[in-house]
Amino acid sequence: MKFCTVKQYFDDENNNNVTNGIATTVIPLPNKHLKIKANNKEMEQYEQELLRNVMPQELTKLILAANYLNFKEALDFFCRTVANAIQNKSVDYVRKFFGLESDFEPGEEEKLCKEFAWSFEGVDED
Amino acid sequence: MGSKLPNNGEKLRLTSMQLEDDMEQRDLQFSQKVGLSTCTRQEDIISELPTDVLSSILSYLTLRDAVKTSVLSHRWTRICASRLSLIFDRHNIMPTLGYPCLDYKHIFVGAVNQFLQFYEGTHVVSFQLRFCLGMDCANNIDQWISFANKMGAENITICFDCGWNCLGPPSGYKREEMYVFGSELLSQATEFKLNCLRLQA
Repeated sequence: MKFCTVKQYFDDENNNNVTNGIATTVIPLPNKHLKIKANNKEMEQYEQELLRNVMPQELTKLILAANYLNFKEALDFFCRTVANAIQNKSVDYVRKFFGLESDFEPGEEEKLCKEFAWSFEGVDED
Repeated sequence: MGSKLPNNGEKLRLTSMQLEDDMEQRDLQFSQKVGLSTCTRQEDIISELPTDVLSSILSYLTLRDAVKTSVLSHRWTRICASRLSLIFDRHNIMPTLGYPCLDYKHIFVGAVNQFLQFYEGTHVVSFQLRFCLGMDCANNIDQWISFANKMGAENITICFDCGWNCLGPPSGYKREEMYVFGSELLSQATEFKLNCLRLQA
């Protein structure tokens, strides 16, 4: 079921250290989930710890691994973690967090900000 | 350091070194603040993720946070504009909006209309509205319900009570001012997908 893809994944050629590192984080997740399923607070703490210990680049690789392994619970967990990291933050903060460059023409971005001014009220300080 | 004053060349070099130090210091502070383990400059970490994963991330954000991400790049604009679950309430539009709703409904209604104009998706799974509105906003409400139905929403929830007890007199709607729902609004979809309609006053 869940782990058929895992077996196939390890049977495949690429078994470099980075891949193994990612797998060691993703694979124990189901057990972790079962242990602390009932306790939201613990899950939150685990999430915080994960975010602190994992570089954003690794978080992306974790998401890609979970997606490839078709591991829905892990994928949802990582997506939720990313969402929590950027909620109520300013656009600049999010841009820096993702390392994302704008591809807007000058003036386009300002136009969008103006149109959705209501969404920019009350964001957290950077 | 010697008592001799540095010449201009040295001064400039020291200044630019200081600037670099400052920037590195700021980057380090930012990295520590967001909880990143070690980093100086950020590479783009998000663009290699597939679109459905980015949609999933956005689905965990409120509408207002999702709308902010539309400013990141064209790709993010498109993803935000095809959001599947639309929730229009105080928390999703503007948590800092004042009370009673009656006095601020023009902001709320404006925000909803703006988003729906910006919307490019072909399909909506669920549509929720929760705000104190009455017959005076009937045109808008009719359009929103029609929109939800045309987009094939499976769940439509319309609640004219923001949940904060602001409907009591003198700020509330009298019975004759309450919105009247017309079932003809649901007859416009080519394919009827609605399986749950909830109306609350």
